Amino acid sequence: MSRIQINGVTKQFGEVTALDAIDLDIADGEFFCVLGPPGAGKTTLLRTIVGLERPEAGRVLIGDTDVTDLVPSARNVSIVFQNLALYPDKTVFDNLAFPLRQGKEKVSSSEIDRRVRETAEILQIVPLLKRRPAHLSGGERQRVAIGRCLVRAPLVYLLDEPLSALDALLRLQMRAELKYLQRDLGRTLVYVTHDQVEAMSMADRICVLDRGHVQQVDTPDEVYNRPVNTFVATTVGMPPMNLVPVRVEGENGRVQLSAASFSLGAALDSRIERIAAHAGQELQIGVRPEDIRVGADAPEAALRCRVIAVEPLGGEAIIDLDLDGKIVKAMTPPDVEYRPDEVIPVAFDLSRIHLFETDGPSVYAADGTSAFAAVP
Amino acid sequence: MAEIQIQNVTRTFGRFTAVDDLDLVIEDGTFVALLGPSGCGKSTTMNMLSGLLEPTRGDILFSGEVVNKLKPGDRNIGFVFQNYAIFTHMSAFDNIAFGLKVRKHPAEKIQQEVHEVAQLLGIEEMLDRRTTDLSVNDLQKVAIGRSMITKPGIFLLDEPFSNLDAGFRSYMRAELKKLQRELSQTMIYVTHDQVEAMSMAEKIAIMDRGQLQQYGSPDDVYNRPSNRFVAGFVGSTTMNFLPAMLDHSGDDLVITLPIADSRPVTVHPRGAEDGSDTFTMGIRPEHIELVEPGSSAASLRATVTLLEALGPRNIVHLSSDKFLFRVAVPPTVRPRVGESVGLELDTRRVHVFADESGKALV
Repeated sequence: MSRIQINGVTKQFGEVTALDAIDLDIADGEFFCVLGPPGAGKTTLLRTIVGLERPEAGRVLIGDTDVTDLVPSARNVSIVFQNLALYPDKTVFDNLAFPLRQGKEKVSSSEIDRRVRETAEILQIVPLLKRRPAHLSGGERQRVAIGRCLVRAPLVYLLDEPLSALDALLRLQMRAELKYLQRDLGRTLVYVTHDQVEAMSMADRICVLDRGHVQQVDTPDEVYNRPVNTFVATTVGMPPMNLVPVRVEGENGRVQLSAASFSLGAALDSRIERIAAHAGQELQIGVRPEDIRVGADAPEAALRCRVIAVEPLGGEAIIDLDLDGKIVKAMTPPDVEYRPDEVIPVAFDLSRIHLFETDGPSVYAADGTSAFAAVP
Repeated sequence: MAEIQIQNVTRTFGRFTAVDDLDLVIEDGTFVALLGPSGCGKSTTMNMLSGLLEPTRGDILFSGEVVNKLKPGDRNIGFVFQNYAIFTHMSAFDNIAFGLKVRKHPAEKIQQEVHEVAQLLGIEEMLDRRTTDLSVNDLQKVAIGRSMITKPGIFLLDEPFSNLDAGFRSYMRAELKKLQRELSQTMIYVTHDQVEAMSMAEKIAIMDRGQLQQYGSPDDVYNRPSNRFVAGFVGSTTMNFLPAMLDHSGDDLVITLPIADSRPVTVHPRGAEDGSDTFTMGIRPEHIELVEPGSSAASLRATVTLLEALGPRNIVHLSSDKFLFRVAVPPTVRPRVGESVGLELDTRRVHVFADESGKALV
């Protein structure tokens, strides 16, 4: 009913290609996050769905209707902008009622009253209906903006970084609330953000976008555990996945990955063949901070690294390690006591490592079992 | 090198009190974070340290000397701002050298010192480039270098990383921490981001509405918050708060929660009671464990309402009666929405706050 199909959409601004032949199929009722850094094309994508931008090539379908040539008001979509765009001179009630009063079909005032109150109840802003935006807190304003988007019951909700102006605590609460809300409404919701935590915590699927190109569209789990390239690997997860350059050598049915201070070896099997094809070249090992064990948790480890700094975060600690002159971050339980310049044993969880080509694409992702073993 | 003493400093703007009777001693060579939400008074405090503002009352001392009336240029301090204020018509080298040039150091010495600073910051190859050709990340390093080179006694940094992307920010945290240790300069870092404060600072001064809430190590403020504000502000997934009824049992406190069928929790108080009638219990998401709903370890039962899979950990949202809980679990633990579970509270990690004053009893 409210499936969104984006077929080969290209959008250019002069010389700049903001969206480059984008294909997306967003399912009916899906919470779909578009994640990427500034300049990725996220907002342009959203504006193309709404109808505020006309693509140079490609089609946009909502439900079964091709809306590419339709004006925004004919598309039955609602959008919440980053800057909220509330009317400062109108009360909360009038802000919420505005889309109904401006709509094509005439809505009776009793119907407007009913729908505004219903929306206000869902968002728990009934006591605020008579106030003006200036007298609301950031979070309350946020809810009014979302309410204005809900009140029309459109096919599709589009949200452009709606939480970025809120402080950290409120953002955390609103994340869960938005998720509950979307589950209750059961409508398709497209959410644009640069914050990987928001995408990971709310999305059914994440589309990682970079410079107008779709990098990966998958569930949070897949994007986190099987990133298709280094861009996705370092965009999702905080601190970002560590990338360690290694040299690939293959001989006598074995593959060896070597850095200055350590070596990993594996017997050649079907999983390893793709790596062997890179013999004589450089690859990058990708390993997440939580997949590195240090100190007493890695007693057997041959690899030793100097501690650069310890970052206590309360619930966990980040240990910054010097590995061949580069910083590698390991995540540990909070109660460790390492001193700067101390040299400690370090072990990668080899059942969780990735390998990437130097220019990005994934070559190998460990799937919970380890093909590799440390070579002394 | 300087110890900073902030003695009963108040700063008002008309009828508004931005900083209210702030009393703080920052030891020589310490890395201190001034942490708080916008409007808490941290920037006003910073501006009084730098000399842009004078205290309305109280004194600021550097190494024992009152500096209230000293101009910024005479305080021997270095600055790094959020918008890095780089000279865009100059090369990276000239930007870093600027402070030495205006002080008319010999060219040879300037060469040598700029290269030393650039090496520390890992920007040696960029020295000849124009700053317009540098990335935002490298610009911030140039800004730090320019401020470092005059070897100020005190380094003031005002949200210097807020324009950087998240990945680089996490890398710069380690770099700055390392740098501060190598220089062993007194460094004061203003931020609203608790992760930055926790990860870098030796000590954190947490402010709210002009008043100092707590001054302590990251371990102190996280594990022994002095009041409810600090407890709620520090930590990336907020502490759970619940209304609590208190009873005494010898030296112990027995906490009863307003949840049907919940078991009382016994804890040891560390603070004095302050005449408050009502109390709030606090417990962090990682100090609750999900157990079988009928388990004897469970203090209460709850229903899963949402699962947030964040990568290294999952946050489970639950409700029990009308109260909401967040529990942090390993990524492999994935309860279904609607599932009924037991919650085991780590009683050694339970906090109790008096509602009136906000102060921590436990």
